[in-house]
Amino acid sequence: MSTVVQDVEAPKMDQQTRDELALAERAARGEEEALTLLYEAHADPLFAFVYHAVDGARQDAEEIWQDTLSAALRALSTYRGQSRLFSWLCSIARHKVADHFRRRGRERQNLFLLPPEELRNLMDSGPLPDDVLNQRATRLSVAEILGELPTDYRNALVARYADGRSVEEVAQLLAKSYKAAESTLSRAKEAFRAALLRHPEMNI
Amino acid sequence: MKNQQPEENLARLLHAVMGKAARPDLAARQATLKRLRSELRAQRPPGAQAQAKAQGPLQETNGASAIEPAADRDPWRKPEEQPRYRKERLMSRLPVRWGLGLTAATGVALVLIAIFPMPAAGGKAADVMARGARAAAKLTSIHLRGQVRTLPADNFSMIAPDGHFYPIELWKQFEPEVKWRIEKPGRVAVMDGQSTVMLMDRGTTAVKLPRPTTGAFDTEWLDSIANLSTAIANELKNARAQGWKLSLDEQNGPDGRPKSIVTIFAKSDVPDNDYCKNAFVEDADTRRVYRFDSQSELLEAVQLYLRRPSGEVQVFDLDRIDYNQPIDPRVWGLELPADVSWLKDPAMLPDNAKYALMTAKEAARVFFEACGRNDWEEAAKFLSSLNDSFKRFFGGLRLVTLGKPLTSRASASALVPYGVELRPQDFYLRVSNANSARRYVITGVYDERLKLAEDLTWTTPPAVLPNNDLYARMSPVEAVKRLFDAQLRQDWAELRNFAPDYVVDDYKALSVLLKQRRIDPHKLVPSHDSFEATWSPEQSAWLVKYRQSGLVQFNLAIRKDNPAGRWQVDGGIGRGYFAFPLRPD
Repeated sequence: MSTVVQDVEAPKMDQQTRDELALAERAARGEEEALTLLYEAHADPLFAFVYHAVDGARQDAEEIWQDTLSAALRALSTYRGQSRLFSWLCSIARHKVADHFRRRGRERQNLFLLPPEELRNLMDSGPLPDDVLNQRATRLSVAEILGELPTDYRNALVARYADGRSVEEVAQLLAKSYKAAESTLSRAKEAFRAALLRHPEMNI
Repeated sequence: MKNQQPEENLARLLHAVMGKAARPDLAARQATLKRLRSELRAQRPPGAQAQAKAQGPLQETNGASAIEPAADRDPWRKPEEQPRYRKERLMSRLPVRWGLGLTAATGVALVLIAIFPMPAAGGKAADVMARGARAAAKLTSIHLRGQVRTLPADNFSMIAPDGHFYPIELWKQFEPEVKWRIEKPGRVAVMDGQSTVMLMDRGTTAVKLPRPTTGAFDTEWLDSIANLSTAIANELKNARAQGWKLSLDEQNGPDGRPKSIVTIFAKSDVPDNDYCKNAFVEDADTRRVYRFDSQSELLEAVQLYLRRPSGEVQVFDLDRIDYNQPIDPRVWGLELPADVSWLKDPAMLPDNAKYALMTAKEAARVFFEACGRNDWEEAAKFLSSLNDSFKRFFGGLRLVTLGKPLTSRASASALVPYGVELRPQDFYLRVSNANSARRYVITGVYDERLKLAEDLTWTTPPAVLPNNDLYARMSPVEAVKRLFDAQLRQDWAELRNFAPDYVVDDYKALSVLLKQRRIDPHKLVPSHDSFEATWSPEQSAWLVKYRQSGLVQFNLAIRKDNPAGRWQVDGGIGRGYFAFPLRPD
């Protein structure tokens, strides 16, 4: 499995980081199209990340999400591509969430808490226990992984699995033929699992 | 994977992590991007501004940024569900302006007031609105009745400031499951809890979304008024964010009870030279007047005034709101004619790329040329709901001119100006002088097969004119000739002597719309000859036959935001545009 994963994803990820860096540089120079593309790719998973970080407090999530995006825009010229752009955004979001909790006088939340190693095996062997599914760390890590997937892959996975849409509907959503949508879904699932393996600390 | 479990786990995991609850709503999504763009512009170094403009796809066509449409779309909705674009249509900042959806609560409005304190007068107005939202927070149903200046059979958000007031009505049930229905002359849309269907084009065409929606087919602006707490929250948010002015007035209402009147001056961010500006509710500069009952705190009425350089004109009047009244279950049904033609998303073609790569103008040319050859298989690649009436009317046309397309930042549709020569065809007008003025007026329109196309109803009988004898002496043919002559001269007063007011209003509104879209309204008018009158004993009226032919011009609305990525005709090709006094369809 890991060999397949390497073949499928590793080279593409490198290229993706390069593409992201180029896009970030364009946006930092003031190109609105680049900003829009970055936004389209990252705004939704970033919202999910923040939303789970504040345990589903939607108003708070919206505020922090907007603050994070503004801060990221101001700091875009400092992004050097050392990590995936979405990870970089998540690191900014973590600080914003921590600030938020501090302002509210709540104990600082550990947003780096990781789920147990057995999660990956649980995923393959039986129903995922609710307490694992509901764990904030699980959700944050999965949100981060989803955020790093190519936008088409993420949209396909979310439409098919989170929203329960048919493959036909996914095809319409992605403006692809049925066959192409099936293929995208299959590759997206592989990429998702591969990304889980590349996050050994996640271990789902 | 070894078994089915991983699939189920994946679904549960993704639903938990990126289900709808964990995604930003469209309004927030759009507003945030807009704000980021503003911030980007503000932080650009001075020299970079011109450079960025010159380099990127920021280059504008007709004032529209090429990147806007994609950026404003909701990636989780299929193309036909996108609230961004209307059918000739298109939409966009709608949710930002009027609110959308069912999830926001009154608390949102109150929180907003706390977060965005307004100046004293605005603060009081905001407070009245927030209390109105709270009063309407736990609705089981709502029924709105009002009227809108529009063209019949055009989309639900189109406004025609020079047009006639037509009734518009919305029923919405919130519990036990959400259902809604919106109706105006020529169009009805129903969401019965399972799917959303719209019937249009004189009941000949229908379109279906196979799922529940909170609003579709350009009904969202009215639906959002039904979701009062959300609408108010968004009004306040935008008033603060975009500097809209709010004011409050206290006065007695028509029932003698004290009322709180909140007025909001809303400014569209669609550029003035955009063809959508002031053509659709969401893209218009408006003064919005909300009337709340001071005692019950409930919203009682809404008025919308279009603000143009030439002055204000009222375009919407919502004068009756019934809260929590039982709704007849039959409202959620929609009877469709057996032969209804379903408007469908275009499928991928074997040679799809050939069509996908066309420009709007090229697509218009191929479509019209196919109509000219009566090649309906080819024409159907651009318009799926071709019916016999359309084929008879436009078959055999000759394409004469195609102009430079107009684009919009608020619309996915390009408007391609066209001129076509229609093949000569006969029509009949039913003409009668069975009225107290004893002059001939038109009461119906028939096609060349003598099939009734439209009854023209005189709600107030033709009046006796100061120079009535002049008209009473005319023969049926002379009356019809005079009607067409007045149409050509755009002599509205004279037209009213032969056609009901609403028909004249529609035609006048259409002419004004064309001027806005840079087409000489005289070019709508074909030539008419070969008049001949026959007495119809069945109708107890004269049927005046005439032959229509010649060059007519209009705009073809065409868009390609569909799964196949091919251009699809979206408006501007109805026979009602050219076969006056048939109303636009």
